[in-house]
Amino acid sequence: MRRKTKIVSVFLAAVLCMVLFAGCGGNASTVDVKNAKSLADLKGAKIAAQAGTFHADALAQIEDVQSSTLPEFSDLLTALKSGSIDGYIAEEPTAVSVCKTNTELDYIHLKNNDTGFTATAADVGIAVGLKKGSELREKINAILAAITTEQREQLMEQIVSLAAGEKVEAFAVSCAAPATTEGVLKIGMECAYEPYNWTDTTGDSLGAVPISGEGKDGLYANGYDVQIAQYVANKLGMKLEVYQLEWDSLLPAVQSGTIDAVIAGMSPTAERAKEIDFTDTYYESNLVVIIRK
Amino acid sequence: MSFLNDVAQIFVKYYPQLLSGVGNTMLIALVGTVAGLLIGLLTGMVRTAPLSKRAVPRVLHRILNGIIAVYVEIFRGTPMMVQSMVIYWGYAFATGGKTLPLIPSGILIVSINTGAYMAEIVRGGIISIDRGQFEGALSIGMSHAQTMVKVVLPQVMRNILPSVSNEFVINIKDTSVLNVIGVTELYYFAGIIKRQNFQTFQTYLVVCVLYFILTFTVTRILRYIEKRLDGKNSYTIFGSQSASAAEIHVQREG
Repeated sequence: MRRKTKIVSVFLAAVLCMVLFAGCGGNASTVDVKNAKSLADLKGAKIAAQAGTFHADALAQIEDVQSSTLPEFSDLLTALKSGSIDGYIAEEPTAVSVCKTNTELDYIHLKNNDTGFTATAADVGIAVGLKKGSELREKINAILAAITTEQREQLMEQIVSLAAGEKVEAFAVSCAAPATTEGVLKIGMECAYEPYNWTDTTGDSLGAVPISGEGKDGLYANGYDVQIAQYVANKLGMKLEVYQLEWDSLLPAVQSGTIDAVIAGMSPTAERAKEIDFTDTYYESNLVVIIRK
Repeated sequence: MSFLNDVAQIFVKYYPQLLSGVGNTMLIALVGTVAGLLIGLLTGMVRTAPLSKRAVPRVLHRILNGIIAVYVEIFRGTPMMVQSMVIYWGYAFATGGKTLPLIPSGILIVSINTGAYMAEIVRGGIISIDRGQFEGALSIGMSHAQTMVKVVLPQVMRNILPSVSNEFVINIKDTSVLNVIGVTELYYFAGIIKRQNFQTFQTYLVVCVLYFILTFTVTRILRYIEKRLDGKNSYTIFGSQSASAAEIHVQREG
């Protein structure tokens, strides 16, 4: 008898828990955005962006969507695949790269149109961030100016292929390593923002750079930012060191001098430009919304 | 089952990272807890010591008590994640870009944080000891220091052991917040793995199981130590050196 009551009470408790969970959980999406062609088709949909980025500001300007933010970029893809959001803001190269490996995904352009969305070149371009008054600014600008727009596009295409696991013979933007290096160029990035910068544990991909720092043995960084950083370091005749830092730690790191520069797919927005100096942009892309087909 | 396969693949492919994460997590939690306990014992003894009758030592003692109180309140009252950011980047700004080495700074942050909690645990342990123990020790001519070391602290250690093991388990789990400054503990590697395979649920499930194995093993070991400290369950009180009839055989349950 006693045993029966125990079993029944455990069962009832389990049912209660389930009911509570079901009641508390956010509703799965009800808006169908499968065939969305423009922002107007996303009305009522759940769209997310990475917190603290320009993507989140752009998201706030789209009307009639349920917006939310997540702290880490790679979680957005998980959220989209799980069905808890309908789409997320990304940059075009990321979308191309993600849609290549996930055939169930597609993307639509976030255009400067009559939806009230505005973005300047500084917003969608990415630049190297330096400590205020850094003398590296002029030198890096001179190096970046020598890379043509075609080379940038070509390099991005190669990087996207590389991210999808394809083989790349030689990068469009590269420069032989100097015979002797003078000084170290310390670069900070998240190593978690494909295809700009990502982490891998093999180091097999062309141009992968080992991540510096205590306990980071066996971790490698690669991506568009890494190749630009390598190119700049080679041109400056310096040794490149890549440091993996959280997005929120990038600014304090460059301000305090822990690293010399941020090359992390960072847009030179007005707010950030108050805190650190930016070079000219080294890539310009369009914002897109990644959705399920 | 592709799901189980995914989970197995995470173990097979990333076991060097997972193992090194487990190693660092345990190193930081263990050293942090022991160092925290030492801080707690020191501060606990200082705070419960009677004030001297002479003016200068009394004022110094009061100041020291004040400093300890501020330390305990600040470190107990702010999140460890925030403390790590403040200490790590504060040091970088103060020294013009030098950073603290990661694992030692992780140990430092966990130690001072645990120390703040241990200070209260030890203080509670000391004041829970019956006054009669202090009085008895004093009446046979022991100084306060002798009373503490020989009579009170051994009992305190046994009494606070469950709280200490609690802190140890909490530290194993809470080292995960150190990933904000890039300490390569288990949670940090979970992030690294997740960003490569985009299998968020599977990756964190693996890490969840690993954390549970760590904490469960540690609680079992500490429970065993507690039992050993308690001594045998059955023992004999000898009433007389010659007459075996005066022996009292004690047999406790469980």
